[in-house]
Amino acid sequence: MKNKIVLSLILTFLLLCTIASKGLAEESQCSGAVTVASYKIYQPRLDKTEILELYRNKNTVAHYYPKNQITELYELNKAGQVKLTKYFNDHKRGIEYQPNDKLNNIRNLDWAQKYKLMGKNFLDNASQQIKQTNDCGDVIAYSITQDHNTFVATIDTAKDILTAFEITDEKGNLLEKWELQSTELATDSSVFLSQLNTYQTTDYADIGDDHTDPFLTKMVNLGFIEKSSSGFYHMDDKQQLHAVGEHSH
Amino acid sequence: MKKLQLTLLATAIIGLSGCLDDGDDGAQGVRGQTGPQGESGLNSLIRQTQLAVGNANCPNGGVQIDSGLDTDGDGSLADSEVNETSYACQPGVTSVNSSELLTNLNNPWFVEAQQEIAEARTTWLQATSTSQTGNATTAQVTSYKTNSAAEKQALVDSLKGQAKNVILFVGDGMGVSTITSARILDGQMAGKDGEEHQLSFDKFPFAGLAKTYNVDAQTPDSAGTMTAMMSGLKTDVGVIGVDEDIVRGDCSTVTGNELATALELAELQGKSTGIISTARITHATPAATYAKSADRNWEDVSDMPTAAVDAGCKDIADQLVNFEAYLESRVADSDVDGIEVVFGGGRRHFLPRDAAFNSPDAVSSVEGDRTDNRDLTAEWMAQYPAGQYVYDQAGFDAINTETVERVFGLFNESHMQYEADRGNDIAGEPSIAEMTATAINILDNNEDGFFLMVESGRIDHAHHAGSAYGALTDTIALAEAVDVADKMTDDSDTLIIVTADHGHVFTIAGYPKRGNPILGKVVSVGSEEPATDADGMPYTTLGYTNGLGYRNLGDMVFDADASYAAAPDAGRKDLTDVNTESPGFHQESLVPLTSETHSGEDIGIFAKGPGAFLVTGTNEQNMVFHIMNFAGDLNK
Ligand SMILES: [Zn+2]
Repeated sequence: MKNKIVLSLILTFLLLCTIASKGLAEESQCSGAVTVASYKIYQPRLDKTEILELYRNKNTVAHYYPKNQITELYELNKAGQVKLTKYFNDHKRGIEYQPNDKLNNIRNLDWAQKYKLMGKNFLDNASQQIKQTNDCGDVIAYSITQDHNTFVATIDTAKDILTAFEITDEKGNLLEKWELQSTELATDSSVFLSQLNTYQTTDYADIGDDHTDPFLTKMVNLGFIEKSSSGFYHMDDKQQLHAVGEHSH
Repeated sequence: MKKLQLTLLATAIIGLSGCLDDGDDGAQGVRGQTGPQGESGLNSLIRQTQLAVGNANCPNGGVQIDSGLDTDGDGSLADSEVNETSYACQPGVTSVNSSELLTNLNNPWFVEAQQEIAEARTTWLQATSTSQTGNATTAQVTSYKTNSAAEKQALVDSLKGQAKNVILFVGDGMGVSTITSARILDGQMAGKDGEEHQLSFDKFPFAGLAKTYNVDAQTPDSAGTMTAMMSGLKTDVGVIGVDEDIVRGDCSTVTGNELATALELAELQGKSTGIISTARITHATPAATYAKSADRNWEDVSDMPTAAVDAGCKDIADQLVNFEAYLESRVADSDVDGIEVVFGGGRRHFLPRDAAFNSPDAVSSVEGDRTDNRDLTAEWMAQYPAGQYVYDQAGFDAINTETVERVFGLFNESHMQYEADRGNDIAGEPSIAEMTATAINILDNNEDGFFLMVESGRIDHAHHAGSAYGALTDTIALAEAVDVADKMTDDSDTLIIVTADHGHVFTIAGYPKRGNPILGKVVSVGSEEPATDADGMPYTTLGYTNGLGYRNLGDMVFDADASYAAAPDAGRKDLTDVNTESPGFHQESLVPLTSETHSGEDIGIFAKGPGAFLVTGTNEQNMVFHIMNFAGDLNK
């Protein structure tokens, strides 16, 4: 047991050293991954516009929807599992979902899809085109055409950030458009994330046993407030592109 | 019984000869005077016909013998040729005993049930006989006669305290419909029809019912019900180890209303004690064995209102780790050695809100919740240097049960995994059966005996989520733990009680045929196609009165947290193309609620061992404490 821990500590240390030295080499000119970003998501057919704010550090990402006052916090743990906590900001409350809760279909959450906003399978399967070459990394356009629609995601690899995303139909009509608006927000990423950490959270499994908490009672009787149904495209094992918010029946 | 079988056998043998026989040739005519040529001799024939039981001439069956001459010479005896009829009735029975003709007697269900009655009577006699009244196996005691109050007291005393060890199993939310359907699922997974199958505790000789309501609630919760079972009286919903004079959430009302628990009484007697839960070990059910709290949610200091902390109320995790000191402070002149076995989830309530204290298998970036900067796992280790703190399967497997003094196992940041998900845990988690076996192996090192409480805490959570699959597989896992405990202990000195705290609004409905998959759609008797409702749609046997309703997450291969958190979707759905037996299927519900609710009906109590005979009839739930107290003589 002890040996195992020591071994993993050594491995962790070595890994950190590697990352650190690589980081140092780049730090001179390159600022590295951005920690905050805001997007305007526009769906012309629905005439719907949504704002998404992204706050992240290495293993924690928050997706904040100001309109609904909902934040989805994703934490990547050492086993590669992704844990979701859904915060209701104006109530200062959160609901925690255990990773790998198969009964409730919490399993294998895709970290890339939370962190980069584009799913791993999408990025792996899309054709790539370098749009711009910089000292610190390239700007790459990833594209896939499927079911008569074309999906194009542009990523600035130096900042590890999605800069644009568009879906067009076969006639070239715009179906959805994401625009990176800013990588500087009023609240710093670490401040935003530590603020969330002070909110009271309840396990999803526990909400049925509380009959006195007004917030939980409201949730039990009225149901959860949904986040926006837009965006978050990724590819499943069958190589089908899905919007994560959509219902699949 | 045997007689009837013999009779039938005889009938069958006779039947073999009951075919049409040629008779012997007729005797030749006596030679007379020569005269006109005589007619040729006729053959005489005999015909035998087997008679069934109940025949008017042979009530027990037999053979009808017709004889006559073959006048038309066709070689067979026609009815018109019969000139004599006689009967060979079954021998040995001269009058019909009507009970022997009843089909019941020959029916295996009937015979087995009759046998069960005989066994139950013997069991009861054994259970109520005492060492003073003679050999238990030959005891014919049906009532006791005593000549004085003192004699009566002596007799009661002799029946009391025969259980050196007491094990209480609680299936959280394991109502009667849950047990029935879990039994069927377990049987069907073993290749049987299922309905006839028995879970381990289905085989226990004694059972009764418990009324579960709380003092202030028709439909109860785990806090009020477990307090009733552990302390012997009913109290309010949502409070732990305190009586009904409490005001929920008001710390100032705790003092003076604290209750003693069966675990504490066992501890005061010098027995070893243990608690196991697949939920957080600070969750309502396990908490009611050791804690006193005005609110079940005060699992750690960060869950408490500042006023309660300032007024001196202690969080539940603190009360577990400092159980020994708190008990000694409440009971004058007492000296206890603390709880020997603690297995469960809920590490977050024992660790500071600081990533530096994360366990190797933390699922959150900051595992601990405590805002007072205390590391209770370290405090426990400092308090019990000879004890062992474990947090994963490897640590659990390494416990030497014969040498370890005590163990503290916290296997998950929050609740332990559903049995169906257990394989997914990062560091691995022991099953409830494994935890039970290890606990008994440690606790039985004390020759004064032990008290052990084992909770299957997630049957309740699966039901709240509307997942019958989850609730039933966790119930089966509990039944395996009960089986392990039963096999490891002796019926003569160990009382085992299996019960629930409350039920759920979970039903087994429609008219499915025998052996129909319990998680499947209703297929009627004599049919191969699913039955349909008034709208022409198939429906499942299992369902909920309220809750989230239909979800079919079984075949989804991608992350879909939006579906997970979706609003309730109650009412009928077309299930024609849905595999309702998949783990991801969530049954339909009538009333839309984000979380399915508890139910208010009675729950079962199953028992074996000394004192188990007290489990009969319909009881107030707090009687469970009194049965354990009587059998273990805990407050002597
Ligand atoms: Zn419950």
